[in-house]
Amino acid sequence: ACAQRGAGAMAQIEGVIGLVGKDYTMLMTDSNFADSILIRRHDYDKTLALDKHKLLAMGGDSADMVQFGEYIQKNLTLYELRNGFPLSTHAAANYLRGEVAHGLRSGGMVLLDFLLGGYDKEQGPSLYFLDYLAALHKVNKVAHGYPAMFVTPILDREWREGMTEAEGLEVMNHCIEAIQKRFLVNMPSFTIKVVDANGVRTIRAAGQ
Amino acid sequence: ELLEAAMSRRYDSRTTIFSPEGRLYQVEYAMEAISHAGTAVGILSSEGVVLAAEKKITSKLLEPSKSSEKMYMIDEHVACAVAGITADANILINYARQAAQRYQFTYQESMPVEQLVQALCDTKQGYTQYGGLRPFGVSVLYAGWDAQHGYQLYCSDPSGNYGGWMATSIGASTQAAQSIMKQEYKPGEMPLQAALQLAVKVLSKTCDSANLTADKLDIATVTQRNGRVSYAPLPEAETKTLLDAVAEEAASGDA
Repeated sequence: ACAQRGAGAMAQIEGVIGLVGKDYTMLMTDSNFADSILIRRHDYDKTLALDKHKLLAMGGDSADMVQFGEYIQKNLTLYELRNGFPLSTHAAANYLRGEVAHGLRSGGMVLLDFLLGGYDKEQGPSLYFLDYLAALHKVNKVAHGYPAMFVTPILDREWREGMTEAEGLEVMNHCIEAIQKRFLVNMPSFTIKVVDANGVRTIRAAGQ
Repeated sequence: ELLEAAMSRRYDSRTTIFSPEGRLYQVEYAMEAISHAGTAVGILSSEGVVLAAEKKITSKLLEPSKSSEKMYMIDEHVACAVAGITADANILINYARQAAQRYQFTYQESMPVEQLVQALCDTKQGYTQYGGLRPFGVSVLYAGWDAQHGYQLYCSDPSGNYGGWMATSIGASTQAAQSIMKQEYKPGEMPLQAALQLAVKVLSKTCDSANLTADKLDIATVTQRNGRVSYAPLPEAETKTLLDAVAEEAASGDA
């Protein structure tokens, strides 16, 4: 993915939103598959289950989304096979950051923004913000892309510590309303997934 | 028999090939070198891991140095004791330290102990299969803690094999050391102090010199201090206390 390509600017159009609840992490992305000014699909899934308790939501270059996403997923699987246990969310987030950082100065830039949501037995739910310049932050609520401009005020105002899944979903719905009302780009559908002690679940499938 | 021995000699000079009987002579010779080195024992306790070693290099003329030729800290949560060629050991220790920091850099977490052991053993194995270089003449005892398996003790040899142990030894007199530990080690009932006591007892029995003094021993523990796991060498005064206790036990009963 080359930053010089026009598609570079398109990375910012995709919305990736996340929040941490009482015992789960919820991630949402828009379900558009866009190519310049054309939306090819309205049912595209931009989240990837990295393992049983990790979810990676991505926004940006669609080729990188598949190739890099799977690269991370397979390397996490390799670690688990080699060592008999999976990486913690914290370790996986830092590993992911390192790979993005490596791309920055090696001519293989990864033009993606990420939200990594995970659940660990001891730490509980967690959310990590990672952008295409490899800035990593552990957060409670955050969004990437132009939609973040509309959604951040809502997250700031409505997020509370220890929300139930229903409460988290309500916040996400308010985010969707704001985007659909005020954002220039048409985003008719969103994908919402949750990761908790039992694993990864789809709350709203891409295209619904 | 003599002919076979003569024939086998031809297969020694290359480290990375098998002998006709399917042995790796260079690896065996490395282990032979280690069997002349100062004994080191490792004992697993529910409260930590004990490493104790006999220092062979003692001379009044030697500068008392802060560093030991037997004990090394690899990272805050992992330490090791070595037996064999000190110069070889230094290379391996350096490699282990780099491996631990590399892992920390990538994952922002401490390297799990077994993975560290495997990394080192994979390196050692390489020297038995390609490159035409001799194997490392070092056996290593690893003592560490991680969130996955708690306190652990591992032992590796020049072949690159390793095993997890409750109590084990490397260097000279390992047979004697193992038999004592086999009798006296009580799985699940070894608090740190008992492990320390047993380690000193084993060394005093297997050691060359008639009277073992505290300055000839190197003891260290990996245990929890101030809420975190750390490695710390035992002060000489405490070593002396342990030695005295062992001597007393020997004198009082038929130990």
